[in-house]
Amino acid sequence: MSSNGPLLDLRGLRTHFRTDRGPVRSVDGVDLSVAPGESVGVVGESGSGKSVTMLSVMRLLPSPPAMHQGQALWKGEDVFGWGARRLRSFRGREVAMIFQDPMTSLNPYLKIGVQLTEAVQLHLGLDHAKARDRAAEMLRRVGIPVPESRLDDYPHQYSGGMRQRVMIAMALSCEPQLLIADEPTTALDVTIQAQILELIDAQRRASGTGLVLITHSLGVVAGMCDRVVVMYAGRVVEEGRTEDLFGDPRMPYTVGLLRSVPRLDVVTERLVPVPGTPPDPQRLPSGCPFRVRCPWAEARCAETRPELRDVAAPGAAPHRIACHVDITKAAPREPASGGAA
Amino acid sequence: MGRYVLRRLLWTPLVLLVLVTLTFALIKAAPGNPFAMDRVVSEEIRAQLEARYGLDKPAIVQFGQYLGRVVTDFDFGPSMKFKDRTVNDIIANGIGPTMLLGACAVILAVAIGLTAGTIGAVRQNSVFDHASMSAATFGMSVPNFVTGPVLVLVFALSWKALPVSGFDPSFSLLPALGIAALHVAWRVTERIRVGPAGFSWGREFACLWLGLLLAAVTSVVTLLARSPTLILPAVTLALPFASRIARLMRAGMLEVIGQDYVRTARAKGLSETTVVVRHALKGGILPVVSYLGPAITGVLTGSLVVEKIFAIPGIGREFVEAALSRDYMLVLGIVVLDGLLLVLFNLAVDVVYGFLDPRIRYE
Repeated sequence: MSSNGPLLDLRGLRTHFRTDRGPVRSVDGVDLSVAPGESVGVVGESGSGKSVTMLSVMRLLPSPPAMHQGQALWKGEDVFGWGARRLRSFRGREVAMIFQDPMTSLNPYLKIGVQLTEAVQLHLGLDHAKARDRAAEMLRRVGIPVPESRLDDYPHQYSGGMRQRVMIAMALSCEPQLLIADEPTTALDVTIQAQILELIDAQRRASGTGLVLITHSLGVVAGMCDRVVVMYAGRVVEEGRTEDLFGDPRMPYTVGLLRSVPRLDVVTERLVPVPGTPPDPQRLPSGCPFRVRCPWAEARCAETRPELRDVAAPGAAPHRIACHVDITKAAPREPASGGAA
Repeated sequence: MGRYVLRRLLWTPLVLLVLVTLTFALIKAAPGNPFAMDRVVSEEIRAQLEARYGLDKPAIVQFGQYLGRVVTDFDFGPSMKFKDRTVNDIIANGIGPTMLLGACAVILAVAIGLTAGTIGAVRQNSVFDHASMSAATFGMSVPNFVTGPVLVLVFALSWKALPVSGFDPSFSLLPALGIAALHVAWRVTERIRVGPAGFSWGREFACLWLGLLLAAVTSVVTLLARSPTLILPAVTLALPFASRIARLMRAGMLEVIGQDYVRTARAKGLSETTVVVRHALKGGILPVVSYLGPAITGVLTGSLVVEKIFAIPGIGREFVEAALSRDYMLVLGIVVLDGLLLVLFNLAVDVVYGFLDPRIRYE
């Protein structure tokens, strides 16, 4: 357990789901690390394996059908080697998770106070009264007015944004070292998305908590994350410091993603979507899974699946991509359809 | 909540009136009459009998007189089959055994069904799950009049471990009091251990429910242990209900266990037991609760076949005979009783629902 090593270090993590029609390879060899206090954005289309990767780390996927391979090292220990007791002291205490939909992630049958106090009673050993004080304090920190009286309310008496605040309070109440936020604003009204993201950012900075932010919004990542990991078809395809990746994307998929985002500083007639759809994880194409949608694809892309390689200038922070082609030199094909627009 | 219950209770007489009217019309429409016996009766005697019971008057008058008696004197009339007994007598005598047997069966069915269903859901596709669900399918599909005699054949006639029939209950409150004492001792020790700051009403209520359930089950076990005549009928009566409850509970729990909030609970690091008991049980039990209202009424009053097989002097048996012999008054009396219980238990179910699910509001 080295103190300067990464908090979380995934090495070749694979999560396959057993189905009657053969295995679904949702996560297919992910390498990813998070340093203490660092914030990492994980981006990708739906079905790229972002959430499954993090649920695998928390070991929250029922197994079977989920089958894990590779390693998920927490401070050097493999979480897949842990017994139930060690796992419980890890969940909630060392790593906490915020889920996508606050409407369904809080138990409708239990008072907010109960749901907030149970983790601190368990992990911090507080008695009932102290745990309630702690819960009220957490609610105040996330901006819920008159928190003492709201502890006895049920989730349906809170609005969607309020519930996500409660989820944040719950996740941070045991002072975890890492917070995993799985699309925390997708289910919320646009007007409160920014508030919730600011809250997560401010709270985690105040306590020095690491953050893994799963999202498909590149704008969110740009504002909040030190580093970005782009996932496609269950693998990491590009990874680097936020400014490197946004300023100089080197993987065609990332280029496509960035071009599909509206920008305020550039006048565009229309947005350019990434052509095609994500591949069926049960029938991945040979070689690079993105090649069928890729304007830079070459013959060798169909042969071998590219491994992650560092393309940063010597001495600079790592910037790794999984692509055979150097897009700074090669020219893209025009897309087969819609090219004349 | 109080006003809601009051309003429901005020509606009850109207519901019962509709029930009585329909039943009256039905039995009048059915062929036959209470005096159609094998023996040929002379016209004079027949006319006298009909005059004695008011059957010579038009049906609407009979109905009016019946309602009047029930409302003013709470008199459900004379039995037409048993010359010297009134319907009130028959119900008063039969309700005890029926309720006792019914309560035994309900508590057995709830205890067994909830346990089997919960374990089946938590250990889905385990050997226990497959075995209990097969047993439940069997228990639901085989009717009482088959299971009863088969149980008698095996346990009473071949094995001679239990009596064939009869009714000889004996009860002791001591074991239940023992449970109560243990409960108090448990609560006091925990209170001392955690100190006054650790006290919470929520936990106290949860523990109280556990204590009550244990005491109820203990009482039933005591009763059955002391009265061997009750064992086979109670098991026969409980079997289909336990099976149904087990299936409902398993389905309910499986649905809840798949919910996001159960995943949240696991992500907090709670133990599997806490996840199931605190987070899943309340939602998972709801389908069982809504089934219990009609089911309890059915068990309490509808044990017709079981009472007949095991010769238990309850009202279920009387009801079958009353219907077959066109004992109009007795049929009506038992239907009113049945309807009243149904209304009350359905109300109880709604109240329990309100306690379990905070999203339900009774204005």
